[in-house]
This record gives sequence, structure tokens and C-alpha cells, in this order.
Amino acid sequence: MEKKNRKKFDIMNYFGAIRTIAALLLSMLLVFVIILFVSETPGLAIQKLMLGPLETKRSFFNVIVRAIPLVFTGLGLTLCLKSGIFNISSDASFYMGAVVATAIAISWPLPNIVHQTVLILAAGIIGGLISMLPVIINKYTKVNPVVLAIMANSIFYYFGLSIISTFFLEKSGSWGSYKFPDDARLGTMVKGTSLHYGFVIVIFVTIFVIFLMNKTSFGYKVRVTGSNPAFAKASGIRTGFIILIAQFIGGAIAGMGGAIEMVGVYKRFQWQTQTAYVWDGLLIYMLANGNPTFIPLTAFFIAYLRVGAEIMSRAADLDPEIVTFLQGIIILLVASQRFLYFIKKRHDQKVSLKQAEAEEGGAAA
Amino acid sequence: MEHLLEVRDVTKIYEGGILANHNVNFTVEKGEIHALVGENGAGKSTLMKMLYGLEDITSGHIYMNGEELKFSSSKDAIDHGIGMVHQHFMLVDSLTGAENMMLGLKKTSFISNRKRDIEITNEVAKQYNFDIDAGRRVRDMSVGMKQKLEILKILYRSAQLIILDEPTAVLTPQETEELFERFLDLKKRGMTIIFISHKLNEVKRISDRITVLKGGVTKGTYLTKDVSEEDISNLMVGREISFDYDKPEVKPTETVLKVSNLKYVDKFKVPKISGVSFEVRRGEIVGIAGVEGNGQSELISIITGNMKAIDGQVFLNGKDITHESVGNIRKTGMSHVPEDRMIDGCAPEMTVQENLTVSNIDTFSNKFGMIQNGKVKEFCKRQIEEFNVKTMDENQAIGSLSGGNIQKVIVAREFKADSNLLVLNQPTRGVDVGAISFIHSKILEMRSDNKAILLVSADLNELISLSDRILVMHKGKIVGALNNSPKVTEQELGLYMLGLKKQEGLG
Repeated sequence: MEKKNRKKFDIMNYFGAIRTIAALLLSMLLVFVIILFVSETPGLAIQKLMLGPLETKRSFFNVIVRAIPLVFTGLGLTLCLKSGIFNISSDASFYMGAVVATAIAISWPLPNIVHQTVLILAAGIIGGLISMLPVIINKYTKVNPVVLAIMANSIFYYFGLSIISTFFLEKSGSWGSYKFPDDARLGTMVKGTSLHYGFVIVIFVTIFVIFLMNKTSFGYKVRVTGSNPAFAKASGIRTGFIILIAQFIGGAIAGMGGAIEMVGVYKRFQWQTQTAYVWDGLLIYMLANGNPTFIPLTAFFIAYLRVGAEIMSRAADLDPEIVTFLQGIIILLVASQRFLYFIKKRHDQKVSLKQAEAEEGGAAA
Repeated sequence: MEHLLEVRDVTKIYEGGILANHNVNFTVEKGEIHALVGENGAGKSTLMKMLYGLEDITSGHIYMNGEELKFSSSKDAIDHGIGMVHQHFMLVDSLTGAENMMLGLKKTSFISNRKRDIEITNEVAKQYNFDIDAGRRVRDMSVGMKQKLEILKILYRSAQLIILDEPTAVLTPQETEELFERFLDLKKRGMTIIFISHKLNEVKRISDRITVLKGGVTKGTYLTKDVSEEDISNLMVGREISFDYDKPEVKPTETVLKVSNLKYVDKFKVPKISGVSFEVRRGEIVGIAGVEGNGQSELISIITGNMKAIDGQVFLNGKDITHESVGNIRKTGMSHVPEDRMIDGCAPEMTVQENLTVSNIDTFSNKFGMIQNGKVKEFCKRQIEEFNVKTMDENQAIGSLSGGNIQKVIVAREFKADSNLLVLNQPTRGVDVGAISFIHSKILEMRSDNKAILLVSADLNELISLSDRILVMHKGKIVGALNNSPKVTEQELGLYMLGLKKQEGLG
């Protein structure tokens, strides 16, 4: 009897994961159906979408390179969101991180390794400070932090853009800053691919976040604060301070991500449009169910789909935008709390009725 | 004879499996004032929300005039002549009284006619003897006038059954008195009223019949003239078993908690605590009794640092903690079992282990802030065993445990924090009988360990069986300080709680 109970309970424990996987499969299926309708070579399209990235070494490593910034924003958001504040200003941190990296790379000659270290750390600090702004302004104005964060994303995009245009623009050819010196760039890790040393850094940052959130008293306080702020306060946790520090670390990770993306992938600053990494980060965070351990995995998955879609569009008669569509459905299904909810509801009702009856029986006896 | 309203076997389970009502039965006759009483969390409000179509019914039936009601929204309820005044006003602050009256009505024209609206409102107000200023914006109205506007709104929608959810909670005595006169007037006109309250004197004053709810279950319906306030309170609190403990002799020693001349005024400028002073010494349990809403919650919030007093001091271990943060107060040596365990007592989605260590997590981490997992695990296993918590293992989410087991986890955490003072606010509210006696034995154990204990409880039986001294609060003042040996009777406590008896010269 006891054993049976245990088994049953475990299945409901994994309800979140099962739901996410079901959402993924369902949305993939939908996309396949759409491809069947619109493509003249649906078999080839689906094959390229699913297996394209595995065809060459180059395209496979491309997936990893594409995943790196996603992991950074995903991890940064983990800290911000886990503290209970929907602070999605990671784009501001990310973009400004890249701007700071560009500025230091071009105008501050430093030896190799030291140069990269300095520019990444500086980007981190700026990113962290930016990320604290929505919370600080919210405290004094009571404006919703989500609104403030989205405003910050816009403001810092134009701010960063004007810094680049004013001070670092190369006045020839296409729009872009001066070239980065070689000692500021992250070198190629695997010859013949685009994989840069940012890969090593992302592994360290991932381990750091997992450790911070799960093994330290700070991470624990962040989780309690996010889970039930009233309880955290009543237990003597300084919630305001904890939230602020969590935003700083989260923003710092996003800022470092911006710097690493800039000096790892690009030769010069060319971002003339607003980055949208925060939305990708949110998607990854949601797919990982808020667990930092799964973030590299879900980031890889999304990057894989994107690279696959690009290969598909080259081989078949379809636009790569089909992946954006796919993402939309995934977000909708994962975010909609009612998706497959009836299963959990039925289970919960049964359990609580049983409990009530047992208690009444006990009281009567 | 047909009832106006009949509620039969209604059960409500909220999301996450919280059972709010279980097989509730009661009937309401036409033209009566029917009171629904029960403690906080007894399921009164949930039941009324179902009647008004705000919550769907998990199982069971509701009949009105013999016809079964199936509401999908409150609009259906309004169409059936049911109106509700909520605990919190459902008015648009920036609109005038007349505009609020007309909101959501079908017969209003597309272009609003302010003059006509005000005329209609005044007419309706006059018809029912209500005195309101229809042209004034709601945010400029007094609480009493807002309340009257709410009721008028319902009357104007031609309701036959009015549900009032704690209508007097925010009113002054004079406003309450006026409101009651209106109620009796409405009753004369054949209106039926369901009146929810836990203020027993009010219930006794205006209702015809009383239905008592406890723990989501109906305890029966009584004619008001047949029962006394004490009877109702016994039914509400319920006393299936009597606690009779052998308390070992403990000599109280030095003072741990000293409260002097504490004062607090709430945001409606109603004085909640007016000059309270007392002491709690090592090795004694001091109980605080009082009808809910007489300042006990505020007093505890101030002592534990969750609210700031406007005047007076609190000393813990000789240190002034009146203006300290919660964290510092805890470090000075206070543990606190809060009143509402799901809001202030735990983080429901987190595990039992995480909930067991929250207020003392720093003692489990090394100097780098890293949690020593082995130490935590061992501590949790030991507490789960010692406090007899029924859980799969320490990694189960605490929200999935029963109320009694959640409370045991909270009690374990607070009792093991090694503080001198334990502040227990309703430590056994809504907890099953087994867990109650277990928690009581732990409280007595703490007393033998020479801790100072401050116990607030709505359960008089609990207070009498555990406390060494009992302080009774009435209207923000301590009106009685009773030595609990030999044991005081519930009747005597009741007299103090209702303000019928007073000791002079207390804080």
C-alpha cells in the first residue's frame, strides 16, 4: 500500500516536466502540419529542420555559439525572477554590456587576457547597476517594475547606440564601430568553427549560478523571498536588500553575456537594432521551469531549432521565420497555466477529499 | 413550507486542493435576518461567494424558491435577486455615488444623464430612509456612507436577498447602530438578509436565526433567542475534547519580555491598542484572550517587529526592540509562530527542509555563506521525527501536507531556534485534534525548559489549560489579569472578553 502511494505521488511531482514536454511535442507537431501544407518538399524541409545542424561540424558548433548568449540571459533572468520581481531589463544590461566592451576594447590598449578580463568585468558591473534601476525606481515611485524594465530596455538601447555613433563609429563603408584589436577578442576554440572561448566562461557562470541558488544561504534567501515575501519578512530576511543584490547579480550576468557575445562573435560593433535576448531568455527560463540546471539544455534546444530553420530555408522553399511561429506556440502552451491543468486539479481534489474524510473519521472515532 | 434559499451538501475545493467547505447545509426563510458566524477561515466568505456566483461549486446544490441555481457569474445572481456587500467595498472611487449606482445596469442609456442619475439615486435613498450625497465622489465619502451606497446599489437592483460580508468591520459604533436600524427597517419591508460576522454581540442583537460554521462544516442552525453569546462562541470554537494537563511546577524567574504603555492607531484612525503594559517571565506561559479584533493581532505584530507602534516600548532580554528589524529581534532571542501559517508561516511551494531552516539558515552555513547540506539534512530528519511530521521525506513541498503537519513543521522550526521568548499566535487554529495535543505537549515542554511563552488564542479551552496567567483584552486595553491557578472558568473569561467585567488599574 505504502509503496503504491509513493509511486503515484512521484508522477504528480513530475507534472511540470511532463507538461513542458507535452507542450514541445504538440507545438512541433503543429509546425510539421503547417510545413506539410505550405512546402512543396515537406519531407526535405522537416529533415533539414530537425537534422540539419548535425550535418556538418561547423553548423553543429554554430548551435553552441548561438546558445551562449541565450544561456547568459536565461541565467541572469533566473536570479531576477526568482527573487519575485519580474525584472526583464536584461536587454538593457546585455546591450550596454556590449557597448562597454566595445569602448574598452577600442580605446584602452591592454595586454591579451587582461584586456578581455577587464572588459567583461566592467560590462558585468554596468549591467548589474542597470538591472537594479527598475527595483530602486519602483521603491520611490511605485511604478510597476515590468514597465520600468521595458522602458530601461528602450532607453539604454538608444543611449548605447548614441555612444557608439558619437565616439566609436568608423566613418567608412557600412555602419559599424572601429575594429576590435585582436588582444580584445575571445579567440577561436575549435579550428574551422566559430566556437570561441566564451564557451568556457559560460560553463563557469552556469556552475556558479547553480551553486549560488541551490547551495548558499544567499540563494536560499532569494528563493524564499520570491516564493513568499510575507513569510520571508516575518522570518527576519531583509527582503529589500536580497532583492537588490539578486538584481545586481542577474544584470551582471546579462552584461557579461553582452560583452562576450560582442568580442567573441563580432569583429566590430554592428548592432543597429534593439536586441531581443530578454524574450529568448524568458522562453528558455520558462522551458527550464526556472531551474538553472536545465537552462543550458533549453538554450541549446532553441539555438538548435534556429540553426535548423536557417539550414532548412536554404535547402527548401521555406522562410526561417517558421521557428518564430514555433516558439510562439511553445510559449503559449508552457505559459498557459490551464494547459493539461485538469489532470492536476482532479488529482488534488481527490487527495483533499480523502484527507477530509479521514480526518472526520478520526474525529468521530 | 418552501424555503427562500436552501444550501444542500455544498463542497468547495480550491485550486491546490484546499478544502474550504465540506457538505455545508442550511436554509434561509423569507423575511428573516440570518446570521452566519464562524472563525476566520471557517469558510463563511467562500460559501457566500458561491451563493453570489463568484466561485463555482465543486459539488452540491443551491436552491432558491425551490429552483436549483446554477450561476456562472455574479450577474446571474443579481438577476435572481441576490445582492452582496463585500468585505471590501466594490465601488469606483473616482466616480460619484450616482454614477456608481448606475454602473452595469442594462436600462441606462448610452449617453449618461448626470442630473437624472442623481435624482434617481436620491429618490431610492429617500424611499429606504438612507442618507447619502449622490453627487459626491466615492473617495470623498465616509466609510459609513460608502457602506450605505453599497446597500442602496443592491436595493436598486431589486434584490430580495442581501448578503452582507462583515459589514460592520470598518464602521464606528454609531455608524453600526444606524446601519442596524436600516437593516431592521428592510426586514419590515420583507427583505431577507444574510449577515456574516464574528462579532457575537451584533449577531445577537439583530439576527433571527444563526448558522454556525466551523472548519468548513455547518455546526447547526439555532434560533437567536435560544442561544447565548457564550453558546455561540463555544460552537464556533468547538470543544470536542477537553485538555487537562499535568503541569509541572516551574518557578518563573527573570523577566524576558516587557511591554510598556504600547499604543497603536490603524489607518482608519481607530485606536487598536491604547496603552498596554505587561511582562512575561522565564518559565511561565502568559495567555492573551479576547474577542477577535480587540487588538491582539496588532499587539503581536508590534512585539514581533512586523508593525511599528506609535508610542510605548517593548523590551526583550532588557534590550529595547521597539524599533528593531524582524531579523534583529529574532537574533535577540524571539521565536514567533504566526497567526496565518500559509501567509507568514511558510512558503508553500518550497520543501519541508527549506521551510524548517528559513529563520536560522545562517547557523547552517559556513563563513562563505555555503549551506552545509549534511548538517541541514540531519537537523531536518531529527525534527521531522521528533515532531512526528507525516511527510514522504524532507523534500516534499510543504503545501501538500495537511494543516496539522504544516503547523508542526512551523512549531519545530520556531521551538528549535533556541530563543528565550516564544510568541505563539493561534498555534493550533484549524489543526486536527491529534496535532493539537501534540503541539500542546511541546509548549509545556518549552515551559519546563525555562522559556518565556506568550500565547494568543481564540480557543479559551486552550488558554485555560496551558496558561499560568491570562490577560484579557477588550477594545485595545487589558481589562483583566487573571491568575490561572486554580483554573479560571470560561464563563468568567467571557465576562471580561465582552467588557462586562473589568479590573481597575491595569494598563
